[in-house]
Amino acid sequence: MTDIFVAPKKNPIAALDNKVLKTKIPLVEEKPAVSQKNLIKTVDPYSLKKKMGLLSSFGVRPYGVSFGEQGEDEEIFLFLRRHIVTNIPWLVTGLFFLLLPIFLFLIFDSSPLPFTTPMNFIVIFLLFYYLIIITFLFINYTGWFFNIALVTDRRVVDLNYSDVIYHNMAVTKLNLIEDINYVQAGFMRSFFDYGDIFIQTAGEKLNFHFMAVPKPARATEIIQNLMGGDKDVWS
Amino acid sequence: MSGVSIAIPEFLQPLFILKVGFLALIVIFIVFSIIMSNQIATMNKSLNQKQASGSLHAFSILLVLLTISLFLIALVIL
Repeated sequence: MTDIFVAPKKNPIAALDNKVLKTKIPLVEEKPAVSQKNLIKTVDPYSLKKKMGLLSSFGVRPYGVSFGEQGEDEEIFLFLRRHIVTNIPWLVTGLFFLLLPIFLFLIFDSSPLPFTTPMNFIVIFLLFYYLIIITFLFINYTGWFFNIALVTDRRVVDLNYSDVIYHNMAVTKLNLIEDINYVQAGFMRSFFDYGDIFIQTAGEKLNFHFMAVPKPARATEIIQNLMGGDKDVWS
Repeated sequence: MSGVSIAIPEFLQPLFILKVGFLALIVIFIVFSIIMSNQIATMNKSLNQKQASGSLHAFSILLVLLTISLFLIALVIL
């Protein structure tokens, strides 16, 4: 007798696959849409601290900078150094003296010297000469690097270093500042956006001059805000 | 009649004076570079900049070592 109905054999694995395919599984966890405006609000501006490198001259809430007399909960809000453009004169001078021996060699190679110099003297003299030039460049660089102004939530710190043997540190509290203004005059200063900031303190206290610092308007605004107790330096 | 030749002592020879003067100059430079290195170490204490302070001090020490090396080379060659 022939079979009228034969039930198909169920493949358990195929059945399971079919079930899985039919089930809607979200590939990515769905999140409510966030508008651009809300996204800006969610980014913590204080996490955008700027790393200060070997050539940095302006930093708001700089990362990785501290000074000797800094309090434990004292935070640096502003880091100022002379604009990088102000280094051009000594760089050009250094470059000139670096190339000078080559030019002299080319000049005197065609016309013999009126005196004879032992070769070993010339070699040692040249090495010494280049060592002096490198030291000259290094001293100028450190002079630029260590001449800084810091503004914390409590005070203004002016660190000076020049001619290798001179350094000093001047500090004043923010509440002792009476007046702050800046001067930005001249083509170069307007073009590269740098200028001088003058801070007058109360009474007989010393005044602070931050010369040729970048973005003087912004820096002045931040210091004024800090004087008023407003630490929102990002706005 | 033959002329009398006077022997000049070595320390009065122009080349010898030049050598000593040059070596003295390098010694002064060594002292200067050591002072510079110490000053940079002091300044690093006043201003600690994580990305840069160490490399500046290292470079100043390198300058001291280079100057001492130059002095030794000059002592041998000259």
